[in-house]
This record gives sequence, structure tokens and C-alpha cells, in this order.
Amino acid sequence: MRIPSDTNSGSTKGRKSRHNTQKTFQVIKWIFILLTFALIGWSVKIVVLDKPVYESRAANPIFEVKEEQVIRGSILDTVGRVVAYSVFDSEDNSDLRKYPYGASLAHVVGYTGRGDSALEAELAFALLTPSSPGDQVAAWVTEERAEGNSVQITIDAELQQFIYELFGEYRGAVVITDPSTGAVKALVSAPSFDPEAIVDDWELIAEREDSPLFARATQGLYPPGSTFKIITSLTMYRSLPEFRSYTYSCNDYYSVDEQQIYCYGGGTHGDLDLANAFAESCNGYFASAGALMGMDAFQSSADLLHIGDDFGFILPQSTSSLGFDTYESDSMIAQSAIGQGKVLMTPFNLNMITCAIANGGVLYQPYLLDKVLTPSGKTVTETVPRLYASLMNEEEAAFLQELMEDVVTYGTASALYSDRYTVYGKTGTSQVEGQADNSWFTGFVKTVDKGELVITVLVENGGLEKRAVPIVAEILRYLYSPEY
Amino acid sequence: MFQVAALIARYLYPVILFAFTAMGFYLYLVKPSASTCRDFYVYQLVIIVLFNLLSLFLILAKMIETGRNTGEWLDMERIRIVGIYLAEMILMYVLLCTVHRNTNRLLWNCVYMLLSVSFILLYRLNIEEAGKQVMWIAIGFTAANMVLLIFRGRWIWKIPSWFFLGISLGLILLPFIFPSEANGALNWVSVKGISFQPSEFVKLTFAFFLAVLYTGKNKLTSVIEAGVVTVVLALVLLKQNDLGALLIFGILAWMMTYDYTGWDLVLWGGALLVGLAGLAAYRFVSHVQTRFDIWLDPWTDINGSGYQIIQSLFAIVNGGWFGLGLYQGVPGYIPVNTSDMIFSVIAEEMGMICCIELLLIYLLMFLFVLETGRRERNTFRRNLLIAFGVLFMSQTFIIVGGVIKLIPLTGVTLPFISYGGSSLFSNFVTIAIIEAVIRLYRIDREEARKRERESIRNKEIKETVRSLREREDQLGAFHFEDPF
Repeated sequence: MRIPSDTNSGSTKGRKSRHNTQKTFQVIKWIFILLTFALIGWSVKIVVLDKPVYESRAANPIFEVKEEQVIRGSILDTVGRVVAYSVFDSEDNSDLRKYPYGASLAHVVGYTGRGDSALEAELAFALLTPSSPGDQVAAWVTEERAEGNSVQITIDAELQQFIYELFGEYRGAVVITDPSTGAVKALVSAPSFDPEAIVDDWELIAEREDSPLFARATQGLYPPGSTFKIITSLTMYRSLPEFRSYTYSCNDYYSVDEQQIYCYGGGTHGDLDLANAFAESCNGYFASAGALMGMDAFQSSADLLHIGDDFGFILPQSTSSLGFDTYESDSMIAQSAIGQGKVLMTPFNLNMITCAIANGGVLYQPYLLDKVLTPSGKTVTETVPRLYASLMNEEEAAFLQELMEDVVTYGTASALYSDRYTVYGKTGTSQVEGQADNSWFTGFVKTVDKGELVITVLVENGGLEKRAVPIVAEILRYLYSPEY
Repeated sequence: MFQVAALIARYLYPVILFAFTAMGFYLYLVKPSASTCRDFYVYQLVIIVLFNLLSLFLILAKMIETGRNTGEWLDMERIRIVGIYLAEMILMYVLLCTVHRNTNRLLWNCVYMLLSVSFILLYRLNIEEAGKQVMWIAIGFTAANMVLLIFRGRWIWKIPSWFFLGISLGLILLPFIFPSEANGALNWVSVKGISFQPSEFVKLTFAFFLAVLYTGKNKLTSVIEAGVVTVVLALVLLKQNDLGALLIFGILAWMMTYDYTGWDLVLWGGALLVGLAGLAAYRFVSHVQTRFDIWLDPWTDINGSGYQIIQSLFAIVNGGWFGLGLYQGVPGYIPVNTSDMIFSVIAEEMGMICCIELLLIYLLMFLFVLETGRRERNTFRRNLLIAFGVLFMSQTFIIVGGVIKLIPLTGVTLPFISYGGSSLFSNFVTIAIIEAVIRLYRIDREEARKRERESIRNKEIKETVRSLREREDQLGAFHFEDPF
């Protein structure tokens, strides 16, 4: 222990024994100057770089204040039909939000009033921002509320409503995307709910047994069934050099690890090559090829195809995956090859993969927000289609297109064949334990003058009557038959 | 209409703070003559008055708005708090100009500025705490006065190190004996309804301990002794889950040891040690790991563990450069918004420019204290100045770095701005001790000059003065003179 020695007697002898204190002073001084400038630099970085990203996040609490000061703007569909707008309710002295397309768009547009959901939440920043700071100041001075910007989305509201009504009593989902831009044209989840009734009837809606609040298109996870054979075929193309000559004799069932895999409906297909097996959707063929390739080939294929990605899409999604552990048995891999096992995908994720196939392997980032408009209709910002990723090369995409074309010309989706446009696709029926089978279709249509569209349809428990294909037929008729 | 007042204020606050900061740095960097210094102290005072007038204008505008909305024009509680605040600020100023005229005014001006910022924020955030804070200011300033009086005596500089060590250990162990029942935390003491945070006081006694210990000649034993004490304190603080204080103690011991020994090894070895200790703590202490994980990715659990830092970031991006204006943000979402997280509130409502200016004010105070230490010839007092400077600045860095997510968030207070009795008390005592040392430096210098004039023949003193002057020539003129 020490007693402070008073070196203040004026002699410098005590100091001589010490090191050069000027240096340590300088070092300490500069350490803290640098730390302070690190703080300032980081703060500047937040304001300059992070501000545009964070401030529009749906979780931002500032919208609570904005909601008081700004009238929420309208939401328009791709041709300018109003799908959501605010009216002032003088009785309640508050805003009422109206949704002319009701339930059909509820999972896309969302609702406000009981928290915000879907686009009402994700686009709250745009909808609650006055068109100019001057408007806001003027509103403060006059003590009125400023009008928020409108947004135009890529959805075609009439098409959306048409598809929603096609489902009737069925549950399921439809995703329609323009593969050349990534614009989502329809995003249907059935059943749905009335967004205007959400505040009054919350309990009623939330407790309904068919879970209408659940956005099946983006958040429903289903075994993809035979539609997964697209991915299996691509994996064969990549990892089996002799895939074109790989044949299989379909005879009742395929057996692996004492487990039998039957073809759907229990039929037999005889001797098959890849094209035939794909068109006829032979389970045995793909299960045997899957067991041959092993889990690593599938996993790398899935990673390259961005299975489980969120694609930078504005709405929340569930994560698709193959469900593989570190080790899987041959029978599990064989099951996975035909889209059963532990494979689970959202209709939206499957649609993204199909988009890449339709577009020569290149995927555009899917988007819903087309434009932000001032209340008077002037464009503030406009989304520019942006490449998201290359999922496969052009040869692979052409190879899959060829396979998918055969499905429509002579395979399981021949009901969709037309001479006015070309349809490519893959059907599927997936088994869910304890339930009726689900019916799938994913594919795309090429027209001479109306571009391309990628269509993915899922019908829950609609497997027996293969409900997905007739729904696609109805959609195609609506889209391309003027007399309809 | 209040919004318009807030709109004007949000552009005036940064200008006012800028003028203050710029003058402070002018004094520090240019070192003008004593009379110019005095002029600038008065200009700074005018700026502080302007700042408070602007705050009063806003408070008044808010009262009028409340009156128009509710019919309650006079809120006596609020008027009382503002009255007490103004009265004690004026009283403080008068005392400083009369009783403590030998102290340095630049430092006090900075304290004034910070207290002014603190008051308007606490008034806006939580009127109850603002009412308590004006009481804490009174207590803190009384304590500062006591310190300034006590430290006139020379005996205080001769207290041995074991005394400070005893107080440090006694205080830090108090929470185990009188645990706080109110908030369940381990680092608070609660005796008969009065609760306080002993680590705030241990910071000071620990700094004293190191300052005394490091006057010794035998470097190795001193360093070992300090190391053992630091490790013991660190373990106790880790047990109490007071990671903020732990970091401050660590940085203090590190910097002091480097300054004492002058070995570069300490600088680099300390950095390495901090890294290793952090890594070990991450592996073996669960709450350290939690803090780190939140820091690395707060977005996965927006409403849970990441809530605090996410709300802080939202507040900062919502504020932008100029802020939303007082009363225009939603600071209610930020947890502990009056103490630990107050920096985000400043960012949200006063803007990032104000925040940067405040950081520069802290830096200015630190640089000034360090510069004073550089001139001080008594090793103990010199150590004390460095210790308090480092203490002050590292605390600022840890909390500001935490809320802007530059480093993991640990709860410490922002000096002079955060709400809290213990913290304000220790801040005031810190400044008072620094001022006492500065006063002694001046008295010694005056005496030396007097002696020079009186007995010019005395060789020893002549020698002293010559060396003193040489030193001043070396370092450049630096004035501590007061206007009175």
C-alpha cells in the first residue's frame, strides 16, 4: 500500500524516473478521439445508409403518430382499380378503411385497425407519407390532416377475384407471376376473410376451423408431390451423366429398404425413359433415380434453386425445405425424389422455381409494389424489375421446358392443350397423412402477343378429382378467350 | 399549431448547440489570451440562456395546446418544476462566480449545456422523473460544493490507497447485504426505501485507488496489486450482471496502467486481454452471450430480446439529421428511455446533428481534462485527472456505442443527461474533483509566481520558475483565467 508522494515541491527529479509521460498522454487522447469519431461515423452511417431501409419497416412504431396526422392513402391495382381507400366516419370521428374487393384480396392487401397486416403494414410508410413536406406543414398550420400517398400494386384485382371464386368450398392457393419482370399478378389464398369485419368479428374469424387468416400461398407448407419431379429431373441432369438413357421398368411398385412406392392410382407404366416418366408422372422411375443419386445431390440442387429463400419478397413467407438431416436413409431419399418424405414447399416458392424455368434459368425478384403515387396521381417512385438470381443455366431450363411441354401434349395435363398458346407444366398429387390428397399444378403459358405467365395452383384435399388442372383451365380461358 | 413551434425548434437547437461546441473547441485548440477566454465564457453562457429560452418557448406552446384541448390552462406541478429548475441553475451560476471563482468555467459551461438538454428531454418524456431530477441536481450540486470545500485542505491528497480500496470493496459488496427488492437487480442497494447503485460511487473510489497506487516507484508490485483488485471487482460486477460498469472499470485500469508504466506491451496486451476475456465470458457466462447474440442479429426476435435495440434504431432513423421535433416522436416504445436509452430519444426528436454536437461536447470536456492533467506536476493529481477523464469518456462511449449498435448494449448512464440520482451525484462529484485539482494547480502557479517576485535571489525557487516557464514554452500558453 502506498501513500501519495508529493512531488509538487518544484523539483523535477521525481519525474525523471518516470517514462516519457507526453507519449502516453497522446496515445490515450487519440484513442478516445478515434472512439468518438467511430461513434459519429457509425451514427452518420445509420442516418445515411440504414434510414431508407429501416424507416419503412412495418414494425416501426412511428406509424402510430403518422396515422393521427395523415390520412392513409389508397391502394390501386395494376390498371388503377381502387382496392383500398379511407373514408372519414363523422360518427366515430375516425377513419374507416374500405376494401371493394373484400375477401379475395385480403391476404395481399391486408387490413388495418387491429394492428396492420400484409401490404397495409409493409407499405405503411408510403401510405402515411404526405406527398411533400410542404403539405405536412400546411396541414399543421390549418390543423387538418394531410393526405398520404397512394400505391399501385401489380395484382389484377378482377383476375384475383375470379380465381378466388373458382375455389368455392375448396381451400388452396394460386400464384401467378410474370417471369420476365417478377411482377406478381395474382396471389390467392382460399378461404379468406372480410378485411372490413376484422375489428368487429376478430374472434369469430380467428377461431374458424378452416383458418381463413392463414395466407396459404406464401405461408402454407405442403409436400410438393409430383411437381417436385421437376427438381428431381434437374438433379438427374446435373449429377447423372447418362440420364437420357436411364430407363426403368414400372411394374406395380418400386421397393427400397423394404418400403414400397406405388404409382398414383396404382397403375403400371411399363418401360419408361425420362421424358415418358415425367409426362406420365411415374413415381417408381424418379424414386429409383433419387435413391441412386443420394441426398447430397438433392441438397446442392435445392440450394442452387434457392429453396427456402424469401426472394426479397415484401410479404412474410414460411421457409420451404427438403427437411434433410445429416443422414437420411435411401427410402427417405426415394420418397423425397417424388416430393414426399419430409419435403415441404410453399406454393410461392414453387412458383419462383417455375419462373426461372420459363425465363431461361434467370429469376427476377418478385414484387407487388409497382408505383408510389401522389394523391393527385403523379408518380413518386416506380419499381424497376431487378434480376434476383440465376437458378440454372439456359440448357437446363430448355431441358426442363421440353419435359414440361410433353406433360401438356400427351401427359397428365393434356386437358390444358390449346392451339392459341403453349402451356408447359407439371401436375402433382401429394399425400398428407390423415387427410385427402392435395392437388398441384405448376407451369407456364407462352402466348404470341400477350407474353408469358407462370401459374402455380394448389388445391387442398382436391387430389382425387385432380382439382388443380381444371382451375388452371378456367384461368387460361379467362385470360386468353375473349368470348369468355 | 404546436407542431409549427416544434418545427422551428428542431432547426434552432442544432444551430445553438453548434455555436456552443464551436466556441469550446476554439478555446481548446487556439488557446487565445485570458481576456478572450473570459469573453468566450460569457458568449457560451448567452448561448445556454438562448437554449433554455427556446425550451421554455416550447414548454409554453405545449401548455397552451393542452389548455386549448382540455381547458386546463395552468398545470401547477409543471410550472413548479420549471421554476425550481431555473432557480437552481441561476443559483449554481452565482455560486460558481463567487465562492468557486478559481475553478474553470469552460467545464462548468459544458455541464450547464448538458443539464439544459437533459431537462427539456426529461420534461417531455416523464414529468415525474423531471421533478425528481431537479431535486437530484440540487443534491448533486450541493455535493459538488462540499467537495470543492473539502478539497481546499491539503490533507485530502495524503489519504493512503488502502482507504479507497476499503471503501470500494465495502460499497461494491453492499448489494449482497441489502439487495434491492424493487427491481430485483443485483447491482442496486435498497436501505429503508432509499435505493442507489453503488457501482456509480465505486467508480470514483476505484479511480482514487489507482491514482494513489500509481504514484509509487516500484512499477511491478503496483501493477500486480492493481491487477488483483481489478480482477476481484470485475468478478463481483460480473456476478451482479453489471456489464456496463465492468467494462468501464476494465478500460480505466487498462488506461491507467498504460499511463503509469508507459509500456506499449500494456496497450496491446490489454487489448488482447479484453478480447480473450470477452471470448471467455461469451463462452461461459450466459447473459454475456445473450448480449452478443442480440448485437449480432437483433432482427430475428424483434418483439423479444432484440426489442430494445431495434426500437433504438427505429428512433434514430425516424429522427434523421434534424429530428422529428419535440413531442413529435414515439419515445414511449423505447425501454428505459429516460436513463440508459436517452441518446436514442435525442436522436429521434432533436436529430442526429444535435447528437453529434453533444458527443463533441463530451469529447471537449475529456480533452480539456486531459490537457489539464498534462500540465499538472503532482503525480497523484495528474493521475486523478486522467482517471476521471477516461472514466467520463469511456462511459459515454459505452452507452452511445450501445444504443447505436456499434458495440453490444450494456446499461450505463449518459453523463449529466440520463435520469438518475446515483449517476448524477457521481457526475457532479467527478467534475467537482477535477475542478478542485485545477484550482490547486492555479493556486500553486500563483504562489510560484509570487515567490518569484518576492525573493528573486532564492536560487532554488528561481530554478523552479525557470523550469516551469520552460515547460510552458514547450507546451504553449494555456489559460485558466476567470472573468472575475
